[in-house]
Amino acid sequence: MNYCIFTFEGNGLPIAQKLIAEGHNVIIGVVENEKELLTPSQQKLYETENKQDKTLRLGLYKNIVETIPAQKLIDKLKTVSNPQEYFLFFETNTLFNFSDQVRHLNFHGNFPTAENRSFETDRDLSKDFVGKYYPKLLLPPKMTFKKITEAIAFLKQAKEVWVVKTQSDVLSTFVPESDIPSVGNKQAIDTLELFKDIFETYGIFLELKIPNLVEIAVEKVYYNGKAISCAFDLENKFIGSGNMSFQVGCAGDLNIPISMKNPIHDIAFPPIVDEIAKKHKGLFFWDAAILINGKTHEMYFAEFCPNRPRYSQIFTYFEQVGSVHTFFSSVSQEKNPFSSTIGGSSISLFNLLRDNNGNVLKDVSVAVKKDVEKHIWLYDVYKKTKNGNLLTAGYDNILGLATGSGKDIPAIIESMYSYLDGFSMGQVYYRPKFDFTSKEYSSSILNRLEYSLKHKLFTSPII
Amino acid sequence: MKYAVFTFEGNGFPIAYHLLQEGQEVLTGQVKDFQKTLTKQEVKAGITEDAAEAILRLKRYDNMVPKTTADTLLKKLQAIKNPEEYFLFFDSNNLFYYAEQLKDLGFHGNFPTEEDRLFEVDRDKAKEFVKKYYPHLKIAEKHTFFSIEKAKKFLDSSIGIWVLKSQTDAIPTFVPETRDKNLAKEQLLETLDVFKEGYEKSGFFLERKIENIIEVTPEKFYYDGKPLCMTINLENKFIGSGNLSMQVGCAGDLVFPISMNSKIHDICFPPIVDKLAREHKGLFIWDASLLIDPQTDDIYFGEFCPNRPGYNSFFTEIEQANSVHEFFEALVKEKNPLKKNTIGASLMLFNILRNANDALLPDASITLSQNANIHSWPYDVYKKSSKVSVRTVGYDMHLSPITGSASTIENAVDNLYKNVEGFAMTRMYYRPKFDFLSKDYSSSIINRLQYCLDKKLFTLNSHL
Repeated sequence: MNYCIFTFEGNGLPIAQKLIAEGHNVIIGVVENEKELLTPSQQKLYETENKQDKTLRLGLYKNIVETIPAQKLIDKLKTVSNPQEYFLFFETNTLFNFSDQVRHLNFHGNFPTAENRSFETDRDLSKDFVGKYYPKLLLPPKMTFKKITEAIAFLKQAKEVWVVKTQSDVLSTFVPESDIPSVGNKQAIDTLELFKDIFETYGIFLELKIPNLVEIAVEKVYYNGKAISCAFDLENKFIGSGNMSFQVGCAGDLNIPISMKNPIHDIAFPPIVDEIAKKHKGLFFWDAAILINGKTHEMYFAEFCPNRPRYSQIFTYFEQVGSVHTFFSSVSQEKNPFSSTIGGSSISLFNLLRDNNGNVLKDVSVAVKKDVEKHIWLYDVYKKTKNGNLLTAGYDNILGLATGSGKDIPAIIESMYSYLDGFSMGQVYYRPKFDFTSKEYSSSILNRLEYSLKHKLFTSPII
Repeated sequence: MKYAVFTFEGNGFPIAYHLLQEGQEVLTGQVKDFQKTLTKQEVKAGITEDAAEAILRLKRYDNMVPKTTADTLLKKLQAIKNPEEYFLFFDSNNLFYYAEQLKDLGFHGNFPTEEDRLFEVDRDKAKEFVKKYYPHLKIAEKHTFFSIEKAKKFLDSSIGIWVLKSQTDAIPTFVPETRDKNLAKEQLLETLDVFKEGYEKSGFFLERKIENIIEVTPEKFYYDGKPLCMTINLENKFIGSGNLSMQVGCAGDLVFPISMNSKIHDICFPPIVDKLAREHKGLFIWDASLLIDPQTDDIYFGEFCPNRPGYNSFFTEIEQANSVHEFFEALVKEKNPLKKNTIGASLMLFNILRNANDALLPDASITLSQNANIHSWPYDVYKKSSKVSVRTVGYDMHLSPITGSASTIENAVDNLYKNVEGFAMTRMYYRPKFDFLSKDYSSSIINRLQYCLDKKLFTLNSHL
């Protein structure tokens, strides 16, 4: 199989690198102009990508892999005579403008659409959809405002705590730590005031905070409309041990393949999802993040990653099945690549160092020993020369991640942290093993796992 | 007693703030001119302060305490007729320019000298001093270079893992985290190449890395040369739980008084320290951080905070007194200021959020409960006017130490984290309680304490 990886921010680059290391022919197309990612409504608000950010972004993986502009790769693919021998991977659903151009051409791969993207960015659309088709999920009460003064006035008299969201990736969701309205809503107000411009540009959404929260996610993988696999994912979203401080996408996760006969499957994937999958060619991802009130056990819908891989979960997939190619070739043959007895986990690595101007520190030496290379997935790296050592690229403080797998939870976690012994970057930050295995705070991965098992959301031979 | 607090970066502002809350009369003086904090050596080296940073530094505690410049305060104090009614607090030894002009005028207080400051900035001088006077301490092997090529040759022929340090703060210290010697060497060579110009301009050194180090810092308080008490400080220096990632000033500590008859006292405070103390007027604070190799039990010298408070430990010590003013008053009376049978703990709250310009987030609002107000010691704060809420300045990510104390370790840490709950700021970062009390990693506070007790370096009061 030949592989083509389309990337904007570089999430697909470690995947491409692993495929090359596995001996496959890989072509990488990098989106040069950010505007090409946007829906027409977003293009109206678009301002040019910061020049420095763009330079750093386009410098990711320099001298590590060869890249060409994404549009050039598309043009090249249009002339390919044996498309069935190619697998196209679009790292996220923002790449729909590119996938639209080749979806009909008999390639293997995933092909996100603008509609998929809208489900991610238009929270009203996704919630209406859930309200209509997901009978077992509730929708947290929500308020929409245009001006922060209106939202603040609402929060000042609110008797419950509210979560603050906006319709953009620029700012992550703010969940007040406190369940006390006067304290939690004060923090929400502070957030609104601090990021006034972003909120008033992209919209202000307040969503009722679910108390005693147990957050879980379930993902289903399809190929040409056929359901292939289902996985249960517990993610640590916060940078700080104990799930403290701010959200960072994914600071670590535990991923367990589960049967599609489990109760959680029916809750998260009503028949409409199979119907949507049938309308999508090739690899199709669908998930649902679910917020459970740990006391009342009511389940609320949180968000979708519609037809795009979840990061870091996809890396734990590759880890569980042994190689990137195994995953892609199995799914393209409509086969489940997972063993029900092997689970995976990931831990994100952060570069918190800053230069004198406050930028993420570039050019810090990074080293990965040969024997753990397979388990380390780096985003923010480049080389000065082809034979040089790895250095931080300074684009983003999420440097990369390590993955591990095993037949039981201790083995999964142990393997992951053992691989970190072969990774080195001075002063790298990650959440330690005793945090990953902690039961000291209610939102810890193991406590959420215990809750899910106790309430029979699924069973697995791994546990 | 009236108080005058001198500060450059603002560590003394929370002291002044607490004294005001306690109803004391307080003046503060902040150094405007960075050059006045430099030793002669530093002046020669041409060190300057960034103008944008200076603006933020000088904004700290605006509208929270009565502020004037250090020069104005100096002049005011020089004209005072009743100096014995004043306690002057210099929050660091870089304030020697002011302290030296006031120390002989009859005031109470601490009076750091340029000589004290030199012990802090000139690491070679400190190490020579230790070699000469501290018979129980070893000095870690260290090699200084001005040429990358020479350092490379040295690394080629050396064994072990080395830490790479620049002679200035411009390039961060590189500590190889791997235990693989070849990998560590490869990374050092790469780092030398990447920052070649900076390293060769200022000079740099390689210091042998000691694995699984046990770090412990004893500190001794004197007043007018009389020893009053000593404490043990077990500090978490890394930002990440498990002592991972980068070093920060202090991410948290456990501090408690011990007897001056302890074994560690004689290791850390040879007769020369008493002699130095007698040469210093008023409050004199001396410490030495000890780095112990648990494989060999060899004890290495780390660094001094010579005649200045350690931060956060100073707040953790004050937490163990009845109040800030009673702490200072006890010192003046040459009495041990710490309550009997106490143990204190502190935790640093960090603001690591960045705005769109990659600057530390300014103007984040902070709400303090009444209890948190008593036990918090914020650095990076100000008010837009005296009646509005406290906000972050954005000068530094070290936002605020919080302290707690009790008569047992468990209760002290419990109290500490209860006090943290009353400090509300969006998305602040701190290390959690289960990390503070962890035994899951060898360098945890509790494991280090256990090591010291096993080796009989000191004993704890039975209640602890």
